Amino acid sequence: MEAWLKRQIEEMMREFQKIREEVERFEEEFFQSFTAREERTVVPLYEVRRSSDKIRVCADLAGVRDKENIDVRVEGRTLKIEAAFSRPFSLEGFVFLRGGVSKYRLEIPLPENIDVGGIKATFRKGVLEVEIPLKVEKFRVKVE
Amino acid sequence: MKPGWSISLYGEIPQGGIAVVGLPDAGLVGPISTSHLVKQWDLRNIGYIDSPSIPPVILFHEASPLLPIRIYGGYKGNDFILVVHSDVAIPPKSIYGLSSFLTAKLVEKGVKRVFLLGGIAVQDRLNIETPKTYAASIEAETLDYARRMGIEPLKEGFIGGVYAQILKEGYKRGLSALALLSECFLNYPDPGASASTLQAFSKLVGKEVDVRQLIEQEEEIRLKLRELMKRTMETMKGSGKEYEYTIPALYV
Repeated sequence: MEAWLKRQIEEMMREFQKIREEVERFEEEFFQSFTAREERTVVPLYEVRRSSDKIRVCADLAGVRDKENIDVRVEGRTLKIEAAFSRPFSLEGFVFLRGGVSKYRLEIPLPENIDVGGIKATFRKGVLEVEIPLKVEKFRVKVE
Repeated sequence: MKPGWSISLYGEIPQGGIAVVGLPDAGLVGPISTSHLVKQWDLRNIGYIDSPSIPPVILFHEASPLLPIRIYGGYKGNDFILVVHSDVAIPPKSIYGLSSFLTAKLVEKGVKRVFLLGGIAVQDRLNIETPKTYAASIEAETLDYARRMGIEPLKEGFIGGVYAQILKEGYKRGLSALALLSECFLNYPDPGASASTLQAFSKLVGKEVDVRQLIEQEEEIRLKLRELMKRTMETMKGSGKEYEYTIPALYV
């Protein structure tokens, strides 16, 4: 084969490779909201309720059986929740779940005035509740 | 162009049937209930409802295409049961159009009563073992019938969203409509609440519905419907649901 033709083909193959990588990157970003491919994690359904003296985070960890499989921690100003399913979850035929998922992961930003020592977490009926007290200066105002 | 609604049926529907509606709302109680009912009673897909004002999606099940708002039907004893099931949340701007269209079609098909299966979100759901079901209807006679059958009427407060509009449209058109709403989570799929709703429905129509599977597979259903719940919550904003936590000025 002529050298120039070989170079042309190689050049073309490199272009195809680039396009393929771009498509893979796009797919990964597009599906990240419900499944991070490498780590096989999903974000649980959750709600955050804030009041003046505490923050309450609830997350639906359906599929997680034991509290031993749940890791709740505060790192810096972020609440991190990780929970492993009792068995990996996959649905036959669903392309985006082809690899299955095995873990929930959730990160919630927290304010500066949290009382780390007072954080409590409970797990009932597949729902995790984390209560984070806030250090608040309190004083009573006399009503006249 | 005004978004139009259309219905396609693969065959004739007998007059005098019972209609059951399951649309995504709080806790996805409606579609979980109708999906279970269709399987339990072995009802067939007999048509669909479509409109440019619902999300442009199509489903595939076992490689066969399905439209998102489907109609199922079949006989249970002597009664023809017509089920309207949706896998997409109805956008607020489409609620009026769908409610008006659906009630008109149900009247045209000679349906004698329509049951709206759904939930009513309660804050303390985690502490409720067996959710209670409430009946809501504009028609006094229909509500009386529910009361006689042991379903407590919803006494106070607003009902918002697509079922509120169907109740209104049904009232205007003389269609007997009854909503069966069980205490549920607002933003987590709630098969336990669906089980309660179906038990109340079963009592009212005098036909058995086995809900064991809903209870046994509760966690799996919650996990599977996570994304649909998320989409539904996004759609519910501005649909009138926020009124359900409001005390009306009537009490001033």
